[in-house]
Amino acid sequence: MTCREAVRKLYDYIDNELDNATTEKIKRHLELCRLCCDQFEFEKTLKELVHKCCESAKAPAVLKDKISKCLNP
Amino acid sequence: MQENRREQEKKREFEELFVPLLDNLYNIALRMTRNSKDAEDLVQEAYLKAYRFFHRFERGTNARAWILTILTNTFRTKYRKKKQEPDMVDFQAIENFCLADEMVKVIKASDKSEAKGVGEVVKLLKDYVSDDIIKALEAVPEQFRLAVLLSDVEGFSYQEIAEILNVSVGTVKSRIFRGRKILQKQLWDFARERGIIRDGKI
Repeated sequence: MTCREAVRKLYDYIDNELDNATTEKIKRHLELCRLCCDQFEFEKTLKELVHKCCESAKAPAVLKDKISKCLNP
Repeated sequence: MQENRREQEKKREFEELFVPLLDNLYNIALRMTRNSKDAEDLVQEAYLKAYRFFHRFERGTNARAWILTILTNTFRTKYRKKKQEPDMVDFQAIENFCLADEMVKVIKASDKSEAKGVGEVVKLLKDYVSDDIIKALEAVPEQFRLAVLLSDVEGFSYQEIAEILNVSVGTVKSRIFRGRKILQKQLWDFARERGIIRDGKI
């Protein structure tokens, strides 16, 4: 697999959209190619950061009450 | 009497399935509406609609995907355009933008040793605080932002996102791609505005 081919599949890879054979091919390429490995690591880290920043808010208690009241008038 | 018992049973089943998802919905709503007041209203409306149409929910299918479909539809019809959305983005300019490459360039220009240069970018990325990431994300136009959130935050597959948004998988991929590029461009602009990167150097 060339760098070009690997990078074209970068998002499919970090989003777990590839079949096992292709995933393995990319893994092997990443073991050999420092440049691609860093780029993949970078995109994966950004994905994780977005996840972390956007899952931390807790729904306010007042919202829970409101919904509960609407269901149990 | 029997009617009443059936209603109670329906309510109990609904609450068991959907109340545990409240924080998930609130987080997505917060990032889409960009303020807590609208986010609360949006979530409340989604729950009421979900309850009203609960008979259409197919038991055994993904409850989180189902209620998020209702939430995103409600958002689209009611909340979009309420607040000024970011200007349309010049896609040609961002299509090839790569934050990692830009960072590598400044690291090299800053005379850091070649050996650790490329690996440094992940560290630089981690220097962004939560507020930066959120601000950058909120500057991404909503249709791209939503696709990125459903993938990165909720962990849905492209196929699931396609069903939630009622678009093709190809469209989902293109929205996620563009959304991430715009996000990276925003983060890059922040770094420059704040003087973290000056004259092309760190």
